[in-house]
Amino acid sequence: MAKIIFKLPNTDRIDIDSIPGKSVMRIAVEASVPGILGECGGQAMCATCHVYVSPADAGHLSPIGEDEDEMLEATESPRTELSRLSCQLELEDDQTLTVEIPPAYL
Amino acid sequence: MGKKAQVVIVGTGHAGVQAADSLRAEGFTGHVTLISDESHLPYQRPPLSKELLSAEEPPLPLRGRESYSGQGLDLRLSQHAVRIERAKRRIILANDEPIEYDELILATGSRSRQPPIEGYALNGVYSLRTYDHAVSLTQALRRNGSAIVVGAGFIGLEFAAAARSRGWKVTVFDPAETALGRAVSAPTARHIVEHHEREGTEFRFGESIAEVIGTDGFVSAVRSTAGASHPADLVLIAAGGIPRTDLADHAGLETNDGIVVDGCLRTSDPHIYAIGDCSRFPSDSAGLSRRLESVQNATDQARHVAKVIMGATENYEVLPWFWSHQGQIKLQIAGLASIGDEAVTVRGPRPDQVASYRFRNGLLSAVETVNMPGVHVKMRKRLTTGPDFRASDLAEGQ
Repeated sequence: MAKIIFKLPNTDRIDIDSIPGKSVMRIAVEASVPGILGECGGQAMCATCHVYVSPADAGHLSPIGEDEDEMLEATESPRTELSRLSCQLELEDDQTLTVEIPPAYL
Repeated sequence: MGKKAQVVIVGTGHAGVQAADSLRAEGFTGHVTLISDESHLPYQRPPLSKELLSAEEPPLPLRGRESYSGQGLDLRLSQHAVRIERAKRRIILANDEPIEYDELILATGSRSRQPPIEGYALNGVYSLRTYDHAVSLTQALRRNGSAIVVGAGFIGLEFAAAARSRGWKVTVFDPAETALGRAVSAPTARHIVEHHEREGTEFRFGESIAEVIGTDGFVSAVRSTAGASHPADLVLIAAGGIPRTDLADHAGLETNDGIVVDGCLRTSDPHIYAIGDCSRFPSDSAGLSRRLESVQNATDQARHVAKVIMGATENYEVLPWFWSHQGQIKLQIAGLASIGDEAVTVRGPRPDQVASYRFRNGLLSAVETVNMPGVHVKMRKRLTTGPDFRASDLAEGQ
């Protein structure tokens, strides 16, 4: 089991248990988590699945790919060092990831 | 528009679902009914020609199931709207149920164009537009064989890459002399075709399929317009989309290869709107109209129509952008070129990368990139916010 904690700007949080191997974007869309779209269906082509990962988790995720890095320049909310495209993030078994939802689509 | 107002949306693709969301986001508190003629929870369409064929996942939903009831949206699946009764302001479903509206949004999309090919009803001949189509194709691709693709457009090429990745031999036919119609410049089209050819796909331009030949009701070969016969285990018809305008036609709304709308996306009836693939809208200051088949157009028009319904009066004017993912090729287009716009092509550092800058009367109209998302993002911003970009800016490394 993997787990994702989605944090909203108003300190609400949404905890979702998930099977490993699904992208964070897909988990968010299926669970109706607000603020994370996925308009290109998960191909790192639209940047609408942008999330801010928690500093503690940032180092444990797969490194930012070249395409992802370039598309992160297209995010609606400001890009920070914690910015990732959630369609490129997949959790392993027993991993817990905390992400903050950017304000753009809330 | 108060709590008792009713908006009905026919079609639950990218446009219809976004329109419902945007109505709530704009503060609409009335009733919203979404009518879908499919049985599935509304889903994303682009993955059907990409991942679904490679990874066989269930359809990626446009929104989670709870978000419909959560926002007070009445989602009616497996329902066909058969006519609009404009005077009574209601639509009638196939089961004779009337649904009244104060405002009606048509987001009916398009259907696959069927070129005149004998034998197209044989087993083994497919279209690719819905999730059900994609499931059939995914199953058909489980064996190896020879696939014939009719149409070297985006769907045809995306399918070609997916079929090749599963070990199929692929031959793509198109009556034009080049791929991708007039959607991209000749240099970009050539670059993409050459990539597919290096990966093993065969192209036959200036040629199409006249007949599908079968054995025991199943496709076994095709005969081309050049008279040659080719073995075939699977045929994909990917010859473009025709807008679904039946409802509008029968209701007497103006249609012309699409449902004609004004800058506010309103049809010839002030209470009926059309958005997405099915809408023909004014596209430039010269008053020319066009249809645009893209996710961006569907969702941005949906956002705009919600604003208009809630009282906005400005015209729809958004920079178009587009992408197509064909195996190792990621094509992105920012802006919209007209046929005849000059193309200045710049190769990227890697051989798979290229960027074509399109100019009209000296000004940048669009940028096509293959595997250069950074350039796409930068130029999309430039086209949106300016300043004007000229060929000389390119030479100066702007």
